Amino acid sequence: MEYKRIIKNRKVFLLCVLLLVTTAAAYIYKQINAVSAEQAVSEYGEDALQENGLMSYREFQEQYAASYPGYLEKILTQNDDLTGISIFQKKDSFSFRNLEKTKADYKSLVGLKAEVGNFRALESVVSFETADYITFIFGVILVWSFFDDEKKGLWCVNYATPGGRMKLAMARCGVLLLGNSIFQTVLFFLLFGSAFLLYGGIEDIGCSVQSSPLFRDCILQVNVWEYLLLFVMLHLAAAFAMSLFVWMVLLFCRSHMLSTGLLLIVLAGECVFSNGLSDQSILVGLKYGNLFRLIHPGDILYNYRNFNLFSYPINCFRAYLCLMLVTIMLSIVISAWITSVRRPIATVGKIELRIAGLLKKINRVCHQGLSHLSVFGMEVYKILVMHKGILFLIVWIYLLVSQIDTRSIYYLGTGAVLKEIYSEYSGPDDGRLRAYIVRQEAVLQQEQLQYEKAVSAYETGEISREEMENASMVYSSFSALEGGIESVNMQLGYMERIKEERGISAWFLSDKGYRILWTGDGLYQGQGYGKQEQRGLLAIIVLILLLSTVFSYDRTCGMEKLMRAAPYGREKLFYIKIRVAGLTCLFICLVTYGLELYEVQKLYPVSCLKAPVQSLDFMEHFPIVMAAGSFLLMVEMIHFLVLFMTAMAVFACTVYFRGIKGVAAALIILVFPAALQMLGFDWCQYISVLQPLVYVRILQEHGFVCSIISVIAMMVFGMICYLLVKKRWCQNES
Amino acid sequence: MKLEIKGLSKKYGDFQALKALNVEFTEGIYGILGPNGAGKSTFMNLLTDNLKRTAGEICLDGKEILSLGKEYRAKLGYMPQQQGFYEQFSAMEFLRYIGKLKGLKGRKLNGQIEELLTKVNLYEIRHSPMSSLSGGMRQRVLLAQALLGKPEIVIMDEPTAGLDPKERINIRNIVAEISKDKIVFIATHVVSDIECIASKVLLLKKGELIRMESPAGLIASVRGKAGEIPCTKEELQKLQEKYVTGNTIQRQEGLFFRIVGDDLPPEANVIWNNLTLEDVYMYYLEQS
Repeated sequence: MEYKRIIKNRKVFLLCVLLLVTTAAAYIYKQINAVSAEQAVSEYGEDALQENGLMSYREFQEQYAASYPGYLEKILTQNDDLTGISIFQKKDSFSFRNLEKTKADYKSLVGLKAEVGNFRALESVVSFETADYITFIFGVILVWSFFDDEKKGLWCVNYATPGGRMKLAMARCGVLLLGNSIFQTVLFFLLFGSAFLLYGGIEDIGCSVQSSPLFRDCILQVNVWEYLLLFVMLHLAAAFAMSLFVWMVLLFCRSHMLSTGLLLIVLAGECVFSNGLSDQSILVGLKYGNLFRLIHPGDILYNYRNFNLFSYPINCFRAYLCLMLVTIMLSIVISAWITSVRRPIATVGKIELRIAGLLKKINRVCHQGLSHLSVFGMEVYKILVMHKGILFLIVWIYLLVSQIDTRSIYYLGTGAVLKEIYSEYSGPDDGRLRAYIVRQEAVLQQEQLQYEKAVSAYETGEISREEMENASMVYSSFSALEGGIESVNMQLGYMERIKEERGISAWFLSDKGYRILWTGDGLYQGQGYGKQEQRGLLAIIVLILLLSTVFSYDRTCGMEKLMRAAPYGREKLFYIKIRVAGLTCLFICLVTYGLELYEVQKLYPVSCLKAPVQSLDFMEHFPIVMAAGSFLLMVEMIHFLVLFMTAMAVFACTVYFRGIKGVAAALIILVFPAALQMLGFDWCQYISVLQPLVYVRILQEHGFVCSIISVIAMMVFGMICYLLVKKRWCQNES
Repeated sequence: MKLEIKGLSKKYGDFQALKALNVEFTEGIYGILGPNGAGKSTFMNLLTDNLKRTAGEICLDGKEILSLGKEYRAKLGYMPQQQGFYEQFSAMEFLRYIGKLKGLKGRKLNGQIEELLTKVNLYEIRHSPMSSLSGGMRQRVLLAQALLGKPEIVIMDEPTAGLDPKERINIRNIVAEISKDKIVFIATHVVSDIECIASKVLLLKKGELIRMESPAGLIASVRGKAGEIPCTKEELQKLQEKYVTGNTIQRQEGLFFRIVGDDLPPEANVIWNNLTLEDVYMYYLEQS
């Protein structure tokens, strides 16, 4: 019955479906990105790969499979060698025991054959960390649903029934086990299914798991499918243990605010221990015997690692299993005990009472301050605090910031020459650059002449081989300059052409930063739009999460009639809510595109904002003559407008469909087509809001007219939504 | 001030919730009595323009309220049936929020809030979140918000629903106190809510206005229509089966079964005095 109750809770059910779909989509998207990056590299061709000392996956596999027996032997002999060293000879030391244990563990692998195969599906799923966190979130949702009876005032009723105590606690343990089993099965079915579809390799699942380089230190003698099964089972057990633990902690205090705070403190502490402690620390036991590892086991499941516990080597994997079992047992016992002995109505403990009193005081002070907010401020407060919008914003900003890559770029060869030229001569064509190029061309010519002379002298035997090699080296050192001059000449040629054809005085400038912003070029071909789409989708999702309650909440909590009976509760309040949406869109726009600009500025600074945008050869066909800075501003304004119109669509969905249905409608209309478009379903671009949001893509791929039509279509869609919402809010109900 | 209702009708699909209502209101307290589904809430929602009417007019001093719009709503105080709140708001925040939506600002708003909170006896807990308030307290906050901006027309939909007798008396007293120079509507099916304070009572049944009169007039209209049948506990069950709308009364003299109707049975003692609005309610609204 308990399970039925939770499953029948549409909110919980929809959230779970959403989690599953999001995880699968995130995984597929990540893999598609990885594949396209790989394809971009392979565009250099096999020769280039070999030239750069790179290997294809197959070659790498072959080399690894051949070297695996040697690798095992090396570990065993290394251990033998080390035991000869004095510090490893002390028999009661951790070092000695660790060597012995490692030797014994690896000995079991001797004779194991690593085969050549395709294991990328397994590797990609095993290293897809997002799934771990999603599983944890699912567990928390499941546990929270246990407290529904409390919120609905049914705790007293349940507690008074014969099965409302220990039996209920046991039923809830069963719900956690069953719920996690179903969720994990579906999740890994989706992930492994997508992985094998994307990468293939199903025929190699009979090979030993050590055939994949990722598992070379796994001491379990299992093949790929057995490992796969074990992996899913372990994740299921870990998820069960973790959700039990969350339930136990949430039961500690009567106040959910306090227990949530306690849970956050425990998890944050464990996270710090897990990530902050080094393997050499004396507290290393806290690193691996750590609850955070139950959420995110990391490489513990496939790497060989022992830690020091009172001079005894403890295998991390075994410690992990023990931790899991202990957590399960303890959590079941404590949770069941609390559930069966805690009465619905009881006096609160002294400490809890004091903390609650303190929180009440803080709350009172906050409310005193908040009561002075304007209606606009109240609306913002409702979004950020009452509907936990601040949490969505923090997660969103964290995701955006974690994607920023501002590693320094080292310029070599032609790149370095060009960098110097751009820093010196960027700007309008004032003749200085041309003079410089003429001078450099003369230098180059002279060098070429000298080189030709040296070649003929070498052929006639006038100079030795060594002298010829020196001459050759000197000449090749000028090849970077030659490349630079060639590139500059091409740009100058373009500048002359555009002057002739359209009368535009183009500037000489570095276009790399602009390329990243306005073309499909990121750090590699095609990445630019991908990243822009990713950011756009995130912006849309956060917009839905923030704004979905603006109109619908007033209705859900029964405030709508009251507000609409007030003189300013219709048009004025409607416009205030629209202004709040505008502010939200502006904020999302500033953060999303501000961070994008920041990233580009760090990598390839955009300069010469006053230059005509046609100075960039990929903007040659843009019909309006405007400064690059103005174009940048225009693009950002389009981003804002599209987001604002998207906000109107969110409002329309949530005004016409109540509660969670509204959010689901917004996700289906706005996110689903966008996600499909990103996953490569091109037909979705016609119904996806991402299309006008990544405005520069339509501009580059379909031209100016199409781009304007797309933006206008979005404006019309947004305006229709706006009018529908206004009609619904400002006019009376029929 | 005169509020005129002319031919006001409301249909939900095929269901006629309100049938061509024609009535005029001037200053005073109007109790609207009727069983569930009589059209009380529909009438309230039409008065607040929260619901689109099917036909008819509502005019304030000769002007249609739809054309008056904001001007009309500025004179309106509305206390809805359900206790809809932002649970995280404190009473103070809530009143400020509604006050601002009513166009009140600064000292005027603060002064009114303090005055009303004191009146409804909630000043001490003004900064506590709504979620921590009892049903009675929440109802008083709702009453306070309805009175913000000193409205000339106050509309209360089931103001005492779910309250204990003491809270009921409190709210009734406040309503009686503030009703001077105002048109106050109280829709309820609890007769005692309006018995002593209403200047006129409207009886609504299946969307129709059955009668509109002062409580005294209504009581007078049922003189000779109520009777009591002395009975034993054994006889009571039979009487209850026969007269569905009868009322059982336990007195010192014994058990009585009180019934209302045009044709009282011969065994019933006709009551000429001590009639109440409850008899009026039973006579007009509960008889099939």
